[in-house]
Amino acid sequence: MEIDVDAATLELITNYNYKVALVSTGPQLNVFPAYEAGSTYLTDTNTANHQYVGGSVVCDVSCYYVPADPPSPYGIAQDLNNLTITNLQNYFLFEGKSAGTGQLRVEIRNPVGMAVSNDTAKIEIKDIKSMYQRVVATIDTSIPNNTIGSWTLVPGFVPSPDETAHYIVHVHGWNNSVWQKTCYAETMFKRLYWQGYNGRFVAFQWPTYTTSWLLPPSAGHYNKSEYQAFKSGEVLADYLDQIYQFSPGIAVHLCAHSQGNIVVGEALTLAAPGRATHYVLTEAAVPAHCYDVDPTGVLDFGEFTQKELEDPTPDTYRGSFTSIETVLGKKAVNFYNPLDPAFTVWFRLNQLNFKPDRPTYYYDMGRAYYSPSMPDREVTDPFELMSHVARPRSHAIAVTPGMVGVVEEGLNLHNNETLNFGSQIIDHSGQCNYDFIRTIPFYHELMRQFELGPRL
Amino acid sequence: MTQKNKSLLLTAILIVLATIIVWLLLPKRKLPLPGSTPRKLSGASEAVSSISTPNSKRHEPETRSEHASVSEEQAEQQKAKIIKQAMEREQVPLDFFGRVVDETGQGVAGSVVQVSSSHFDLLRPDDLSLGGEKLTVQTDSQGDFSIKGLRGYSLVIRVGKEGYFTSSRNPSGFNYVGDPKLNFRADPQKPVIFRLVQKKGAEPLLYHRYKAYKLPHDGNQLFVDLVTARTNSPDPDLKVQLWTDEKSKDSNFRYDWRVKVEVIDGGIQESQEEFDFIAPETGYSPFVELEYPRSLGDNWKRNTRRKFLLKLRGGRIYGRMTFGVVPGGERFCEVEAWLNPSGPRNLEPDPNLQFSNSDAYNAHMAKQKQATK
Repeated sequence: MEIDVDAATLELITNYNYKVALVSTGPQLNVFPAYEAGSTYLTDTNTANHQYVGGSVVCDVSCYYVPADPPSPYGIAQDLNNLTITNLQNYFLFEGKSAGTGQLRVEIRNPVGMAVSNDTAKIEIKDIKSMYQRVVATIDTSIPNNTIGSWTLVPGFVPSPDETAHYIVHVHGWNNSVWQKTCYAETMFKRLYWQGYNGRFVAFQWPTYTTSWLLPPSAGHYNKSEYQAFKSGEVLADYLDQIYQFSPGIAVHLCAHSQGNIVVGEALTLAAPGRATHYVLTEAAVPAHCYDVDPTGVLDFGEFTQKELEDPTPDTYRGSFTSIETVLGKKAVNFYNPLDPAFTVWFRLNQLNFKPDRPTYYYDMGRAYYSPSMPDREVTDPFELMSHVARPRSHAIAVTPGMVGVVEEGLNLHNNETLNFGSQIIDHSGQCNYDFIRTIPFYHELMRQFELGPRL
Repeated sequence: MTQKNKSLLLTAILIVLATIIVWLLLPKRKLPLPGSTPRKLSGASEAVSSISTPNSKRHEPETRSEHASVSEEQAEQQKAKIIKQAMEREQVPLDFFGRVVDETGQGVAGSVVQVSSSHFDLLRPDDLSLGGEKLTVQTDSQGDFSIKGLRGYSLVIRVGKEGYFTSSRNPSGFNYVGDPKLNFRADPQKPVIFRLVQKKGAEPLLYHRYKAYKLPHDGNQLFVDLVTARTNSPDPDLKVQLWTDEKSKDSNFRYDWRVKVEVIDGGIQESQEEFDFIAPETGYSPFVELEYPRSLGDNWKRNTRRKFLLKLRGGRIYGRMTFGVVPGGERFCEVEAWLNPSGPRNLEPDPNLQFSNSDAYNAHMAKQKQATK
């Protein structure tokens, strides 16, 4: 927001106790002085640091930052009855405190509070939840089950009249509470918006298990959650089909994080050609062998194949998602981080220790069993086999560089100088956990891989 | 009942009780846990097992009696315990030996080495910023450094020094756990090499962060003025043409496409160098063509991004650019460019001397001129 005054008015404000007030007839606002004109606070680290009061990490998800001491004037909200005006041109940033439309009126008030001149602008503040679509999958959580789940649209979304014929469908990963699903989706939506994306953003929310970070890593439900992911894939396939049937000509770009890639992989395995146009895997918790049958064992991961010698499991993952290329009409693209501890440690240990998922599952003489039932139930459902019995022979694609069958190399999240995702837990979702400026290359490349021109 | 009969009855009761007590005290088989030693196979089951998993070691069949008494809840508790123990075993020594060299291969003394180690801090898994240590060390007079005493599962190492550029091709992430063939192993006889390149001195430059331009795909021309980054300029520098033939898609969804980039009054040459900060005087061609026929097979690409050096406006301006093309979807090219409008061939960047438009650049140069006077 820019407020310009002429020299005579500036003189009145500076020396004669005139004031500049901001009046909204609709939504409520917070107003902050801008360090610079324009939107460089979003792209320039120096400007951002001045604007955002010194913190080096601005985390959209947990919303923590380090306040400067003493505080920068740029981080302090203005008194709307007495805006600080010291120049002919004055720049502000505002944030909405409530949704609505109305007029924003700038008033020059004399020392007794009477407006002597004013100017107005239209203003519209929207709740972000009205700006993107939330699709919630509901499934039968019993294992195994043959029922197909369903999906519902969360009410409140209002499509923009300027919306282009594109959908970006984002699928979250394991262990996300509703709050986290929402935060990650909104962070991605905002960052894609600033990349110039003005199609529809869809957050596909599926029922992963969650736990508190206060407990040891959630050993108990990762595998169960993988089963839910496969079942949710059936629901996503139906949603993609509905888009195709009822919104012909829409280009659907899929992006999934971590275990959300099981959801998308299964959905694309079930979908007919053309139901999606692009797919970017980010930090995907899926064995690389799912995308490549790899007859010569190039992708074999020594620890897993060694473990197979002493504790065999069926080779069920291999090749299970290789048909996605036919649906997309092109290869999917992999955004990976060879240091991501979700895979270099957690994924590995889970496959080594809990495949089969003892003590409730075991594998014997070529057959898998679930033992708490009476008598033991033989496991034949491939979703249950993969999530609870089968150990992959390859590592996760999230730490696998290069071409992997139907997936091509996209972006190394560690080697990129700006992104520089490392080996802490926070790096596993760095595209949302790290600040806007640091993650620009991620969203730029995401748009590029979706063949969407940034800021055309 | 006689006394003798009573004694017999009492003896019988005692025998029954003793039998029950002995049976109750007999050791029961425990649940098999991951990592436990596999038991030997009997001959019959061995034959079946060897059919299903020909490479497997001997593995005793598991039976229902070993699992039935465990509820889902108990199983989850056991798993949490096991995974915690496994993670604790992942804390291995993170020793490291490195050497920092310059562009001539000489060791760089006094380089700053920033080290981040990672481990799972199972006592405080709620704090995402924990789980590792950060430290800084400096190279010795030979450019060598070493790290000892840290434990965890990986290291991230970044090197730098005032007055030097750091190569983005330096290795930086080192995993110490997992597949032994892929893991990093420290060897004092073979230190990991990190490269720095000495700065020669930056010039004020015009810098255009990625600008994207829609491209026709039938060979129609797009003109770009690299000084203003505009397409509707009377002084264009680049002529870009794209041809795609999506109808030629093969069974692998590849199709023929090519792009031609022509410098209107100057030349262009591709650069493979990371620090191509001095534009050569010669070696330029009027245009480059990037071709991606289906016949490239697995080397075919859906998009491309390359680096070029530029001689513009009859040699009055030198520059470099990263040029990308996305021939599908919305079809566009992207240009990130550094130009030296004052004539010298020096293209070394300095973030404080980069200007996003000609006005800011010219104002800076005028100020500099004034200061020199």
